[in-house]
Parts: sequence; C-alpha cells; structure tokens
Amino acid sequence: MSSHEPEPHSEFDVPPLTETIAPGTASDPDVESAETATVTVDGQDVEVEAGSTLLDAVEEVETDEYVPALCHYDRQDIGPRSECRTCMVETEDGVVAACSTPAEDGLEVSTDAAPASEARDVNLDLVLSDHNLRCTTCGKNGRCDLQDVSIENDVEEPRYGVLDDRDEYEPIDDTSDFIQIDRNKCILCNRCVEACNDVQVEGVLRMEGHGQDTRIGFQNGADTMEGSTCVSCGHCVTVCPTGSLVEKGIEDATTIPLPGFNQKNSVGKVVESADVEKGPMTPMKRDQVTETTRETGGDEERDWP
Amino acid sequence: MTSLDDRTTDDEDEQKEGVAGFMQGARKKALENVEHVAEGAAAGTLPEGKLFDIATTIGDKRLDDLTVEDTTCGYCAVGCRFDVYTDGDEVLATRPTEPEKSPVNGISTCVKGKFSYDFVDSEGRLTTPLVRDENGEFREASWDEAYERVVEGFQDIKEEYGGSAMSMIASSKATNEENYLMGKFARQVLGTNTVDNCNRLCHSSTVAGLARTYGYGAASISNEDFEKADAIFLTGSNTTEAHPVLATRIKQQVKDGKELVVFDPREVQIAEYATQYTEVRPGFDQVWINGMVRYIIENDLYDEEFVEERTRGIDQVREAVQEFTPDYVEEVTGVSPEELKSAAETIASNDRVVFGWTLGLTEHSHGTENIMAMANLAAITGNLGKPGTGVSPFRGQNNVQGGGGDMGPLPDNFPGYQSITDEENRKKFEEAWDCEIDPEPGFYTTEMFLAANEDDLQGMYCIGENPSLSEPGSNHASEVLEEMEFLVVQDLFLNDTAKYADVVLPACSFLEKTGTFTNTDRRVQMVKQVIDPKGDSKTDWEILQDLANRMGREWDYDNTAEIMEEMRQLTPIYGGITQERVEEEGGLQWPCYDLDHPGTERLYTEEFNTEDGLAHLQAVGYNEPGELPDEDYPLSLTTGRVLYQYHTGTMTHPEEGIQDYNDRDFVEINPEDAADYGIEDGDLVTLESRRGEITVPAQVTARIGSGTVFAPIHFAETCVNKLTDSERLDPHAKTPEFKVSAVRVTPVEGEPDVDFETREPVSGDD
Repeated sequence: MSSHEPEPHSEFDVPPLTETIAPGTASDPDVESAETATVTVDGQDVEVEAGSTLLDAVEEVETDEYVPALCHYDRQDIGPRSECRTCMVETEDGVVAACSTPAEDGLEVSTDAAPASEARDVNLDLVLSDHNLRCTTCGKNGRCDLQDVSIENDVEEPRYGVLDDRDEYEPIDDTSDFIQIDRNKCILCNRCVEACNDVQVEGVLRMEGHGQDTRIGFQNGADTMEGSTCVSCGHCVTVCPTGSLVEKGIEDATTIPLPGFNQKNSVGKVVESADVEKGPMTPMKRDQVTETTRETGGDEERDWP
Repeated sequence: MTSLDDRTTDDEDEQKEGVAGFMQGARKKALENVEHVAEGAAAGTLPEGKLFDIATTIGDKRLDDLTVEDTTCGYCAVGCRFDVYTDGDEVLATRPTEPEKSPVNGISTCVKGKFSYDFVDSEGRLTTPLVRDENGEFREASWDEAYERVVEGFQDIKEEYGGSAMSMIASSKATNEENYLMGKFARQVLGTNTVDNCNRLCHSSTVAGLARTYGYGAASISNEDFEKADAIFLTGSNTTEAHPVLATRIKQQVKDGKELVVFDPREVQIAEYATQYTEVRPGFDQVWINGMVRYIIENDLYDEEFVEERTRGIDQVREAVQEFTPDYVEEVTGVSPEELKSAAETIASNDRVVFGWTLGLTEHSHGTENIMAMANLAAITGNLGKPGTGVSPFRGQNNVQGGGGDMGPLPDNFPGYQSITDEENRKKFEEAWDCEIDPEPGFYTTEMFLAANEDDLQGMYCIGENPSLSEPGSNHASEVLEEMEFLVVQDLFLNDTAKYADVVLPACSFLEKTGTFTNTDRRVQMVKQVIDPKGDSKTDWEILQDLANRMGREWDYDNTAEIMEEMRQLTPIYGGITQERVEEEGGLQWPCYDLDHPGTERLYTEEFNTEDGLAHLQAVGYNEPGELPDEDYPLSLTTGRVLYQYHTGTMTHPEEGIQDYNDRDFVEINPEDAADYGIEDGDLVTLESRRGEITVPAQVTARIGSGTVFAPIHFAETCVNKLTDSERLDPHAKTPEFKVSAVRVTPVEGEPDVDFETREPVSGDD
C-alpha cells in the first residue's frame, strides 16, 4: 500500500488514476504555436499549421546543413524533451532548440550558421560521451537512431570520447521477461517515459535524478523492471532511439555472430530475474504504489519533480 | 527519428573515417542481414553455455535469413499491425510499421501482439497428420492417408445419415478467404447447413440485436471515433486486459479530460480510470439500461429530432420502460438512483458519445435483448452516424468479424449476411457453387452439442477451435465429442478437443500464410506470410481444397487473392474489396460495394440498413438469468479473460514470459464473502456448480462485488466451463449464459488433486 496520499500535479481537477502518475524529472513543455505561421528556413518559406514547432518547419525542406534532432519522435504526440540539443538552429532570437521553439510567423531560421552548426556537433558528441558505444554487440545495430544520426553527421572522433570505462557501467536490467534495459546506452530523450505515461497511461517509468545521475527509473520505487508495475505493452521499446530499451528476442539478431559478442557480455554486469512473484490476478491500480517524494541527498524530502 | 527506409543513401558508397566509419561498417553488416542479401556469412558452430545462449541461437540460424514484413496481429480483434522480424523459424520481434499501414494502433501494442510468438516454433506444433492406429492411439500418417480417412469418414456419414448429419466448426482465427471456403465446403461438399463458429459463444447476441434494430450487426464506428467522442460509455468490458490497445486509446481520452462511465460487476482496471464507475449485479443489465432510457425520456433529455426523423418505435419503448423507475432499478441491480441519474445525464448532455461493450453484456440467456436495450439508448440520444458517436461491440478473435460473420460460415446466412431462407440468395449460391442448398437453416454451435445428443449429428469437422474447453458445460461437450462417430480436428496444436478426434490435420499459423482479417471496426487488413509452414503443416485453404477435390469437386485456387475475387462477386458488402486494394489503401472498411467505393468509415450516416431506412427501436422488458443463486449455490459466477493469457491458452502457454505472469486460473472473491467462508488470499478452494467442479486458488479482492465470484478461462485443468450450463441459451442468437451461473465455494481440506507445479501446457501432446 502507498505510504502516504499521492498529491495531484496541479490544482485543477485531474482525471482519475492520472493523478498518481509521477513522471519524475521528465518534462513535457507546451511549446506548440498557437496558429498557422510562415517561417523561413535557410531562405525557403514554409507554412506550418497551428501546433507546430520550428523543427516541423525545418523537416519540410532541404536544409543547408543536417539537423539531427536525435531525441525527437514524430508519432503519437510524443513531445519534445529538449534534451539532446542536436536540433539547434539560429534565429533572430539567438541559437535555439528547434524542437521546443514554437513556430512564430516571420521567424527566420538558419541551419548552417556557425554557432548553431557547432552547437549541434558538440551536443551530439556530448550525447556520445555518455553512451557505451558497442554497435557490434548491440540489439539495435542497424536500426539505431543514434547510429544513423552519427553517420549522417560525419562523426569521426567524438570530442569527449565515448563511455567505455567498464567500471562506470550500470548493470543491464534483464529482469523483465520481454524488455531489456541497458542504461549505459540511454540518451535521456524521455520518449519511453512519455510513451508509458501519456500514450499507454500506465505510469510505470519515470526520469529520476539530476545531472550525471539522471536515469530511467520506476514510479513505484522498484529497483528492477520486474518489480515495477509494467504490463509489458511494449511502447517503451518501440520508441527508444538507441539500444537502451530492447525487445528480448531481437537483441542479438544483428550482432556479430561470435561467442561473447552480445550486450550482456560486453557490459559485463547484468541483473537477472529474481523470479519475483506475480499474479495470477491482475493487480488493482489503486493498490499500486507511486512514489511522490524523493530523497535529495540532504535531510529533506522533496516532492516530485 | 529516421525510419529504416528514411536513411539517406548518399553515404552508402563513401567509406567514412573513425567512429563514423566503424558505425557504418557495423550498420552495413546489420543491413545485410535485414535486407535479405543472398550471400551469408558462414557461422561456425558455437559452444553452448549459460552466458552464450544468445550466441548459440545465432549460430544455428542463417544470418542472412532475416525477413521483415508488415502483418496484422493474430490475437484479438483490435487489428493492430506491425512489422514482424523473423529468421525463418521463429519470430524475433515486432516493431512499429508506417502510420498508413497501422491505422488502428499506430505504434501501440500489447504484451501478446508485441512479444508472444514462442507458439510459432514451439515443440507442441503439429507437423504431420495424425490418425488412430488399431489400438486407438495416435500415430503419424502421410497427408494422403489422412485425407483418405477423412474423405471416407465424411462420405460414410453422408451415405448413412445424409449430409445434414455432418457439422462444421469454422475458425475465426483463419483468414477471410479461408472462412469463405469453409462455408462453401460445408454447403457444397458436405451438403449441410450446420456450419458455425465461435461468434456463437460471444457476440452472436450483438449481431442479432443490432441487425434487428439498426440493420448491420457490427460496430458502427471507426476507432478514431473514440478520440472524437466527448464521452465514452463502457459496460461488460475488461478493456485493459481483453482489448489493451483500445484501452490505451480510451485512457488517453480520459487523460485529456473526456468522461468515461463504466457499469460492470467488477471494478476492472478500465473502471479504475473511469470518471464514474458503478457496480451492477450480474445478469440484470436490461433493468438499468431501461432505467436510463426511461430517465432520459421522462426528463426530456432525448434527441427529439433524431428520434423523430431517423427512428420508429419510440412509443412502444416509452411504454415498455415505464416500470423501470430508479427505485426499481436499485432494488434489482444495486445501482443507486444518484448513479443512474449521473450516468444518464452524462450520456444525454454530451454531444457525442460512443457506447462500447464486450461479453459482459452479450453472454446471457437474454443477451440479444440486452443489446437491443443498449441500441435504444444510443438511438434516443442521437448518438449514431456522426463522428465521435456510435456503438462499438469489441469483437474477440482476430477474425471473428470477417471470418466468423461476414464470410458466412453460419447456419442461417451466406457470406455478407444474405439469409439462406431467401430463395433468390439460395439460387445465386446454388448457381455459383453448383450444388443444392437446403432452405432449412442448420444448427448453431451451441445447438450442435445438444443436437448430437439426439443423434441428429454424427460427424464434425472442427477447424481452429477448442470446443471441449470453450463450449458451455464442457463436461457435456467433451462427452459429445467423444461419442461423435467421426471427428476431424484441424489445428496448430494437439489441443484438448483433438484428443477426441479420429483424424488430426496440422494447419499453420497466420504468420505462415497470406490473406486478410477483418477487425472489430469492419476493417479488412492484409495478413502476409513471413515464415514457411512448419513441418508438413498446410494452410487451411489448401487442406480444404485438397479435400474438396477428393470429394468430387474441382477447386483450383492458386492463391488466396483468387478466393477473395470469387467471394466478392457474391457478397455485396465486400463487392469492391480485393487484396490489392487492401494493401494499397492500408485497409478497407465494409460496406464497400464496388472497386471505386472507398469503403465506409462510419455506418448510418444517412440511413439505417432497414427497409425504411429507420432504426427500429424494440420494446424490451426484462428477463431473469437462467440460473440465479440460491441456498445450495449462493454465489453468482462470472467468467472472463486476463491480460497475460489468450482464450484456451494454446497460443500463450508456450510463452515462458507469459506463464511467469499468469500460469493458472484462480477465483476472485470479495473480502466479505471470503471472511464468511474462512478463505484467505491464495488458499485453494473448490468452485462447484450443478454441472461440475474445479479447484483453484482464491484471490481475495475488493474488485468483485459481494455475492459474485469471477474465474478466468485459460487453463484446461481448471476449465471453468465445467461449471457453466449448455442448455440455457439466448432464444434468438443461441448465445450461452457464461456470465451467470450459481456456484458455491468451499475451502479445500488436505491435498488438492491438481498439482500446479508440474502441469503440462495444453499444447503438449496427450
């Protein structure tokens, strides 16, 4: 049973069960334009509908330079997290993230302006610096957005290296029967949290922590996937842009077929299933815990977020 | 962000440097696998070992055998579509496909459609035909021998008793094309009208009820209407567990502020998301529905214009609902006047309401009347024909709408719901099929099992169904199957029913053939082959063709597109549907009368499918369930599904992950009732009715109301249908009363007979 009453996220009447969804530090900024607008991208006029961002305009045309926009997902209203910062473009208002800037009528956008261009390159390198780059053993090899984007952006030597210090690795969470989590590959794009909370409205995943410690976590405070309230619907693995969340069964389909060449082995540390007792009856949602406070390291407990 | 197809190709030739080059090389290797290039890398044999399970699997497979194709899910009727990745032997994973190709689900999936494909390559799959040897045991046989025995068996029955002593159960899991042939086979080759399918067990009352009021017995909406509605009303539906992707959509609407009203005897998960949940006593739905209709009429909340212009029969309805006052409704159903009023006002005050229901409303001895009452409610509030309004019965099997209904393997209808009693229809099919067709309708499935008692049926050809577990009163059904003079079972597995068979024919799964399915919103979608048939199994249509030709006919279909071509010429509502169009247009919703017709998104936009174009509102009173709780059997049993299993379990038991979540049936019992009996959570109890008994663990939960218990349907050893009744059927649709049986619960003393740890999965042999 929950330890105390969950608190609503706003003072408005929140729909049932969604008031206990606590996505943690995941954000979903409201950045859509109010009306149709015409913006100019690299000298080309583009008309976009109401509810558009600059990225929608950028994607309509052939831009002078490539805009990766790695964490952007264009289906099911999975909104911008504005995390990877590889969609930076230059406007009169300075260098902005195109995915999170409303398309205002008359704005002029430039993709090849030096500051924007450099910002994108640096930001992509920053993403790579925290990613354990092992494509040949990764379940997403050949179907990975980060891989596609890096190749397209001609990444040769990332400025800050990649995450290849084995001691730094978090163990793979292999406890779920269907979904494998490798947090070392996570780019914190938040698609999975949004898919789980806004599309499936299940309230399983959250973003927890700050800065270096930010990671995918579970709203009921469980340590592993099998201890969470996951219903194995698959939305999270469907939207994940990297090999972080992978369907079990295909995690080795495109790896090099030699012994040891698999994710579990290359990362080294794995949390296997502890055969947590489940069911047989589907649990009632109101019996499920949602943590709504978190420890901040000090003595105080703070409400999410 | 970029899909597999969107990748730019200009860097294919340019070898990159550094990290980009490394990634490019790795990706290239992966792409070679996925793009199905002919040369493959030879894989050496790999050592087995705990950490190298995965490596071993790779070693056994051919690396360049990865096939990727979009197809429609073969589990439930929601009709999700996705890309299936296979290596030729098993399904590795499913991934989302393009938006145009997945109109119903988008990127959404559920645990079964997304992950549960171990059944395809499981050891239990039948790969050769089986026949009985001299000792009555099964042995393997060649197709020739099996076919001979089947033909001999059928012909013997026909000669001795006449064609009408033969019966057929068609498979609502098979494609439309195959179901069309099943109906044709029954009438043309066997000479019987007794052909039916599993729709009898679930939504037959929906079909009967809606056909009578609106003209079409199917959902009037398209799935987008859930998004366009202002409010959604659900009853008798455990949506998050039985139709998870529909629930996903509904939950999103609630999150966006729409209203959701749920009336159900159990507080199922979707009810927990509702803005109003009302507990109802099982079996008395007509009472509260009529109560709402009365409230809406009395308080002038109904849509006068709609009723005036588009319906008839309002006066009879007004009179018939008089007695259902709020107090009376409360007395019978337990719904308080405030809740009744609140729900009625929610429905009446919102401009656009979608009404959804599943088997909680239909599986009753008066199911058809329940549906007609619901149809009245939707009609008097004007919620039909406009976007965001309509009725949506959530169909069950992946192809029960198309195969189990539209394609006409029914005792009283030809394809397209053309009645066989109509002389013109009969003439048309007699000409097309070159045979004589009896003007008398045959038996419905539930009736088949009663008719066999009377020796009216001697033979049965059962395709892709498991009636020994799914028929009501399964003890009785099993007896009937055992005593059947000749029984042929055609299935993927040696299921429970097959153990009574004389010949077993191995069929193949939806991943091993091409055809179409029709989902719950009347959408015909493509099913594409991604794996070769396992072993010597054949597609259902090939088996039917072989048998038909051995019995004197000349069927020569080369592929299922030809079958569809023949079918559409005879079926007006499918008149313009071809596989090519379905593929190009990403699905077509019937009615689709000719090749230029775009399909029908929503029914009843201009008129209803009745002679005068009006909705015929039916005056519906109320009838009690066939068997109410009494002193000896004081609790009311309702049955249903859970998320992690599927129907009789043949497809889900081979999946380890699924079994981890739910490996046994159970009984939900209210805490008050549990305390009365001294039962604690997890205790084994015996659940007993006048027909039989099962032993299952109890799950004490406030989800179910006091006086009611719930048990799921997924395991043979604890088949809950031993408790249900086979004779109390809906008079119009012959639907069984699965949702109300009188039972008693007793804690088990000592050791139980059932050992839950070492049971064989249903798909094993014997």
